[in-house]
This record gives sequence, C-alpha cells and structure tokens, in this order.
Amino acid sequence: MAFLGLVAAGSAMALTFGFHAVLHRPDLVMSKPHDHRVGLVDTATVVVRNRSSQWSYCPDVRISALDTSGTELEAEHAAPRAGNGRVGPNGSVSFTATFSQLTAKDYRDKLDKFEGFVIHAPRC
Amino acid sequence: MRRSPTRPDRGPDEADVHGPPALSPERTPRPAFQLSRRLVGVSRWPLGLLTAIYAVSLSDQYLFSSVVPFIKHDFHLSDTRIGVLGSAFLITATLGTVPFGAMVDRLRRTRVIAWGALAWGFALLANGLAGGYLTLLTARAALGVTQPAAGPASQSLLADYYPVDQRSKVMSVYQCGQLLAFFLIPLGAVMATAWGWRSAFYFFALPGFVVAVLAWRLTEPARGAQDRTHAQRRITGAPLPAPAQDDPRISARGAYREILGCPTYTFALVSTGIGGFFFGGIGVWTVTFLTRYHRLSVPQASAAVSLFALGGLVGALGSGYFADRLVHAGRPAARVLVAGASRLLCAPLMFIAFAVPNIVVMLTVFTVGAALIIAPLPVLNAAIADVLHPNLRGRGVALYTVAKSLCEGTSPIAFGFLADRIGLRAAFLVLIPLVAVAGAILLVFGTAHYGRDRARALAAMAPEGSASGSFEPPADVRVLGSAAPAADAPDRPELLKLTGVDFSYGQIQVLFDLNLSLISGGCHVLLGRNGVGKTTLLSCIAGLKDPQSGQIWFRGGEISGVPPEQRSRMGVSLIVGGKATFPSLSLRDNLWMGAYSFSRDRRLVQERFDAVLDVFPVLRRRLAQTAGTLSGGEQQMMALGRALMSGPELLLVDELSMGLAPHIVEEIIRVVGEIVSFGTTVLVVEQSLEVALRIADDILYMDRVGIRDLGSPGRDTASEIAALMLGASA
Repeated sequence: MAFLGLVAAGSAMALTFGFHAVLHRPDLVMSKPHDHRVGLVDTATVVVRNRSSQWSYCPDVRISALDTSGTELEAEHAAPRAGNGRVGPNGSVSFTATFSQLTAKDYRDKLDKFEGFVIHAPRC
Repeated sequence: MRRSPTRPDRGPDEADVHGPPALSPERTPRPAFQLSRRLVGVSRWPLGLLTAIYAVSLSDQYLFSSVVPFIKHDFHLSDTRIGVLGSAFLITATLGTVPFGAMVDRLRRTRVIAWGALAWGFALLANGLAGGYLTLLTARAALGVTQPAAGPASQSLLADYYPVDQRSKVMSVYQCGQLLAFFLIPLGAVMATAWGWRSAFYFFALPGFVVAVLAWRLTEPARGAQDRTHAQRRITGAPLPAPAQDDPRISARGAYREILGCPTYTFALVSTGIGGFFFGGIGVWTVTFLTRYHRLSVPQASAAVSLFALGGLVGALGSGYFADRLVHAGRPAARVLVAGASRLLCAPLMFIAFAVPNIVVMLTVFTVGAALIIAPLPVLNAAIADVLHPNLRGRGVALYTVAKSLCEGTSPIAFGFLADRIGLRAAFLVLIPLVAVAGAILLVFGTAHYGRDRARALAAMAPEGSASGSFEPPADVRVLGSAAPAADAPDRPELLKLTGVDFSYGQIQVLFDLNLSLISGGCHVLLGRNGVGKTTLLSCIAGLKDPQSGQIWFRGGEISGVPPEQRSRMGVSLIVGGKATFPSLSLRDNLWMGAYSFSRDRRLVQERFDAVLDVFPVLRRRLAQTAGTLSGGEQQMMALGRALMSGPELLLVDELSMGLAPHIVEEIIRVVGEIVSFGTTVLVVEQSLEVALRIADDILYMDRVGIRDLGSPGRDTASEIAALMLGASA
C-alpha cells in the first residue's frame, strides 16, 4: 500500500540520515561555556576538544550571548587562552571571548546563556 | 414471593411505629454522588495514542527554539530572518487549521491524522535536509501546514470513542499531551549539541511515522455514537444502533453559520479570546517580570516559570474529573460552569501573584493560578463537543483554535505596548481583569444556553424515522430511575442491570456479552457449572474487577468504573467465599469494619452492632476472639454480620454454604431470610441445589451463552437445573 510504503521510506530516511549524523559527528566538541562577569563586562570561556586521533584543527570559535528564545544579544570571536589555537589529536584548547556591549537591562531581563560555535575548522 | 418457613414476618405497624429497623438499608448514609470514576469498559488505547500524537505534534515548536542558535550560525542568518522562520510556521499553522477542520468533518478522521502525521514527518526531514535559508523557510512553512492535522480530528474522535459522562476527564488526559511536549525540549538541545542540529530533526521525525501507522490502524467510531447512546439509554435503557456515517441533514454550506449560531460555542469562543489577551502574555513576559521585579537571573526565572507546567497539569486533570463528577450529580452545564468559575477565580489569584513583592508568595499563588488558567481548556473542549453536531466538531474545534491562537499571538504585543508606557507590573495588573470578564461570560451566558444547545444538538442527531425528531420517550416506556413506573411494570423496580459485559483474564475470556436484570427485593440464587464465571460476575458487580466492555447499572445509575469502595457506600456489598474475614482482628472489630463508611454515626453503628448480635446470638460469646481462630461456620456468620452492619441494598454472596456443617447451613438459611426481610436484595452463588431451592425467590442459571431466569423454584425446577448442569437440552 502506498501509505505504508511512504511510512517505510520516511522512517528509513530518518534513521539513515540520523545515524549518518551520529556517525559523522564533527571531530571538534564544544564544552558548555563558563562565564565570569565584572560590572557590565562578561568573559565567557569554552573548551574545544578534538575527538580525532589523527587530525589537528585550527578552529574559528565564536561565543554568543543568547536570550531564552535563542536570539543573539551579542556575539564575539573567541581567542585561545594559550598558544595559537591549534587543537591537536585528542587534545583540547580553551577559547575566551569578552562581552562589553551588553547593557544592564540585557543582563537583568534577557541574557539566558552563552553558547559556543565552531564557525570554521580547517585541518592544520 | 416465596418465603422460607423460618423467615420471621415483620408487621407493617411495627415498622411504622419504630421507623425502619436498624439493619434496614434505608438507614445507611449514602453519598450524593461518586467521588471518582475510572475509565472502564472501553479501550484506553485511542486516548493514549491521540495524547501522544498531540505531544509529538507540539514537540517541533519547542525543538526549533532550542536549535535556533545552531541554525543561525550554520546559515549566517540575521535575527530578522530567524523571526521570519518562526512566523512562517505560526502563520501556516494557523491558516492550515481551518481546511483541516473541514476535512475532519467530511473524511475519515483516523486517515486525516495518519496522512497528516506522515506529511509532518517528511516536513521535519525536509527541515533537517535544508541546504540554505530558502529551503529551510519552505520546510518550516510545510511543517506549519501539516501540524494542525491532529488537533480537530483528535478531539472529534475522542468525543465519539468515549462515554459522554466521562468526556471532560478524557479531554483532560488529552490536554496533558501539551505538557508532555514540554519535557521534550532538552532532548532537542542535547541532540543538537552532540550530533548537530540536523540530527534533532531527523530523530524527531521518527515518532511522526510511528504514530502515522498507529493512527491508520485505529477504528473509526461512528459520529455521534456516544451522544446517541448516552441520550437513548437514559430513556429506554438500551443503546441505539450506530447511525450512518454521513448525516445528510448537516451540509457543508452554512456549517460555520450553524457553528457560530450556537450560543454556548460562541460564548466559549469569546471568553477564550478575551482571556487569551492575558494568557498569551504570560508565557512571553513572566520571565522578564521575575528578573525585573524579583531580581532572579534569567535561568532562575525560566526554572520558576516551569511551575506553570506543574500547576497546569494539576488544573487540566482536576477540572476534567471535577466537571464529570458534577455532571453525574445532576448539573448538566457543569463543564461550562467549571470553566467559567476557574477563569473567574484565576483573576484575583493572578492579581495577587503579580502585585506582591515576596517571591515565595508570588510563585505559590502563580502556580495555583496556572492550574486555574489551564483548567478550562479540557472542559470547554468537552462542552464544545456536547453542543455541536458531530459533523461540525472538526470545523468548530478548528475555528476555536484559530481564534485562540490569534488572540494569544497578539497578547505579547499588547503587553509590550503597555509595559513601555506604564511599566510591566502595571501592564499585568491592567490586563488581569480580562480573565474575570472571560469567566463571567461563561458563568452568566454559557451556562444559561448550554441546556438548550445540548438538546438541539441531540435533536439533530435523533434517529431517522423518529416521529418527533427528539428524545422524548414514548408514553409506555419507563424512564430508568424515575419514581413513577409505568402501569404494566412489575411491582419492584430494577435494582441491578448488566448490559453487554465482557471480561477476560488476560487472553482467556470468561464473560461473553453478559446481560442481567435483577429486580429489587428477595433472594436471587445464581447457579451454574464450575468455571462458568459466577465468581467473576460478582467481582465485576462489586467493582473488584473491571469489565473490558459493557455497562453495569445500579438503581438506575451507571456504576461502570466506579471504584469498589464507592460501590460499597452506594449499597453493594460482597462476601467472598472463604476470604471474608480479617483474621488478625477480633470478631468485634470485624463487625465494626462493616460500618466503616459511616463510623462517625456512633449511634447507628451501635444500634446495628446490637441488632447483628440479635440475629447471630452465637457470636455474642466470641466477640473478643481473633477471627482467624473461629470455626468455618462462625466465620461465615461473622461475614454475614459484617455485611449487615454496612446496610447494603444489594448483598452479593459467593459460596454461601460451601464447607459448612448441616446445622450451620440451617442457621445460614434462616439468616438469609432475615436479611431479605430487612429490605436487602441478595444475590447468592450457591453450589448446593438443595440450599438454593430453599432460599431462592428466583433462580438464575448461568452458562457460556448467558444468564437465564428460571423464575421461582417449582416442582420441576430441580430436574430442569439438573438437566442444564448435565448438558442435556431443557
């Protein structure tokens, strides 16, 4: 029957693409950002871990300040705390970004969390 | 009526002078209505599945907000474009509800849900496969179009799957699907973080395909079947056959005019719309309110707002149960009443919550207020099903949903506008009275019109060929439960009625479409071969077992699903053969346990205790003795005595004389006569034919086919029964 055929096709696609995403997950994994605030300046830090035992990466990391609906309040490029930002095989590197554009109202009413993103991750 | 020679006669003058005797069922305090009722006799699978489908269909809304940051960075989108994605979904979901409502009224609803869920699954896959902004926008719009497939169809189906007098409770359980979806939020974020945002869409699509198949396999109930059954059974005691699927009297043209011409529906629509101007703002602005006025951080405020879900769960479930209870107690407009009262009571609570400076008080009152905000939703859904013709329910629910969404969607804008001018706290306090207005509309106008609208809907569902087109009973048909029986009815009213009862122990069916009618008064003996289901039957009547289908009526009211402790208070007592004692308690305590439900009436309890000892003088010497050490005969007498203490109207006795010595059996036979003389109707399962013939006013024979009433024992009864037992034709 056409209906069951479509269900089977859809389920197969969902499982295939889903497991493809699981198996081909990115080598670089981002930790949950930790932040430290002094006055109206907040510093957020993430740790980027390389799950590959073969390749090194030089990632371009960005950290965003988000509200409860996921809207970006401010986004900053994150710099490595030490070294040149190269993440070796099975290694990890901390990246830090400073947020100075957020207002008192943003901190009080809107800011929900920080989220880190790897914008670009070339091998190096 | 055949009487045992040992049965004492009680003259009418004695009763008139002294009032009913202590052991008379008339003196037993009875509850005004059942406190609870389980959903029994019908499969719960459709309700569970449709609730799960509701949760699954809402899950995407929460999923998208949790993966927005990842999508934004992947596609380098501005906030405006993100907003357009969100709006595309909401706009198409709102607009798509209307045509789905029309489809629901014309097509097979289970198929609408199945195809809708299938399309929804593919739309989610498309979201995950989107290569850029435009394809994602198209996929979001497609998802919005398919999302409303389930809502109108599910509510229409639920109204036809389940009994009318449990409609509110069913809608309450269904409403919990919205709250279940809430708990799926973290799942999407976890998937997006671990495997990428696309994986979240792929895995969330799977439930859509699963529920599509399950919905396809659901049986399509006849439209209006439950309403017709409920209305007709109240008149004649018998259900009508299922009507034809298509009712030619309700055409597509003018359907919306008919829907909006129903005052109860319109007032419900207006009330929900007005209230929605406040409700819609709560979800968006409460976090900001808590951070701004109570100095919570945003994560703390978000966690605090989750109390709304907890309160909502309590409100959703509680309102349905409470409304059905009131309906059963004789308040037909209870659903509208509960909804209106909830909204009216919610207003002062929300005023307090948003006015007080103390965070603990605020959150406590807010949680209670949340329960009252959610409480009207399921009962109004039930009331809408009550007052709309089954062929209009899809469109009615769709229109209701659209109006609700539009008002709740504009609410945050109104809040923001007011907050900019007078402050956010003042904005809340100014808009709260709208909730009271919404409640008052329902209480004043909704309840006033409900009875007429319900009757009009039922009249439109009246069977073809009905002379009056309504449910007015013919003159010669007795109305169940009425005080005035028809002229040719028997002297005694019907006390117990079973219709179509099926019961299985797992895969083994024991009772097959069983029917029974028991007249009030006298001793009825049930005979039958071993294993035919006599004990099971008594357990079903007492409420210890729930039939898989069928109904049980007691004193004209349906007691299906009423828990056994409630049936005991209503007047049904069961003595289980060989298990009728509390062995570790004394005999005295065993007897007192019979009066547990009215133990506060010490005077009545003591009167009955003394009267029971008059009936069983042999027990007087053993009051302090542990029940487990009594002889078999004494235990049986004690069990009967305990049953007498409860003052039942219907006493069920399983295995009256099994294993007892002959002189004890004689005593038991005497006592049964006394019990009947007090006014209690007795239904006895008895193995001994001799005992049965001595105590019975009426013999019932049970086999796999059903129950036959063999009438009063006569000269040939014994041989007739023997023939039945041995399998020869009667």
